[in-house]
Amino acid sequence: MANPLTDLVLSDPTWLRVLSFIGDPGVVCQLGCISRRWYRLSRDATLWRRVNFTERRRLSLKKLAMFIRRPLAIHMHSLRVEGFIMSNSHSSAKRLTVSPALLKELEERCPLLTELHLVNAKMDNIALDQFPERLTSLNFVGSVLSFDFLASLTNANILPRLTAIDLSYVHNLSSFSKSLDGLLSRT
Amino acid sequence: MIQLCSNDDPPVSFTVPRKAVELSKTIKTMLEDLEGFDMEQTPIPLPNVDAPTLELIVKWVEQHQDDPPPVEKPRVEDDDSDDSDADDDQEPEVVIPEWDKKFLPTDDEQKNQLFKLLNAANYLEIKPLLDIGCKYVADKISGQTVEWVRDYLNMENDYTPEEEAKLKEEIAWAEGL
Repeated sequence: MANPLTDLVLSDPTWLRVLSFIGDPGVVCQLGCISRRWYRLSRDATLWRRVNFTERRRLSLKKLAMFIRRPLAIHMHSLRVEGFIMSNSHSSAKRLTVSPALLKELEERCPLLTELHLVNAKMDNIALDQFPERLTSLNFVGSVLSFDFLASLTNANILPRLTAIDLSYVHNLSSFSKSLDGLLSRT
Repeated sequence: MIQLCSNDDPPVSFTVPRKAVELSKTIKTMLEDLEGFDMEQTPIPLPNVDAPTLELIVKWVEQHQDDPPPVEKPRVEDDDSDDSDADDDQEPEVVIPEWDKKFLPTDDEQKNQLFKLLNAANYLEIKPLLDIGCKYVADKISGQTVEWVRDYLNMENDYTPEEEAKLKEEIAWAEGL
């Protein structure tokens, strides 16, 4: 064979394996522009269960909202988003990472989502009861939270399925640490 | 020693230590099923693998025959059934070892050989080899333009202009990341 069509050489499972190593959701999505076959491969549900927008893959609030409105977002079990607190530029550090409206859309559009990471995120515009109710795991490593955040956590009616929360390196934790006692009483 | 035969006419055969050959789950299972037969005397035909590809496979399994078996991740005990498949979805972490970097047919004119090797690794169920190969291809196409990847994979753009316009809208969130 002088010039076989290599596209046909690899099987779908092998291409899916290649795509699973790419990791960057934006790149995977763009590879769907190659051909119809690649569109089908790049939209495979297995590639979109865990979506990671951290480090070099950080998205602005506007683009994150655009993503959540795509049908792809329906497959998400876990979503990781990184904010711009650690950014060098002062102006981007002030950017909000998510909005109450975006969390509402997450709740409506992502019925499988149970795990949410919002790291290095500016979150002081968000109250705990604005998160999707079915979340079981939250991670706010390095984020800035609103002041009544921990107090709401002591209320077992808010996020009733929550079993894990990571508050490591939360910037303003000390200012409401009185609530920690209440937290311990939540089973 | 075990003999493996390629699908060429006439077949090319390779003699490989049993330990090395057992890195292929497919062959290991076959040998276990044929326990009691004298497999040293029975060449195993591989209908999906040609001689140059089989030569590469043999080279790889001989190099890796003394590798410690891959560590199985302990299952996380969790009573929440929603998380039961979480392990399978983890972004796989694969580092290509130095020897393997030199081993993989990575020149552009060897592209087809690379894909044949991946298909053979898939058919023979040699997961570590499949992983490093897929990782190599993933790194190769990451950060390239769609046109470049299309060219690299000899693929035709089979979209209509209308579909392309629609697609562009659909991926707007991913542009200029």
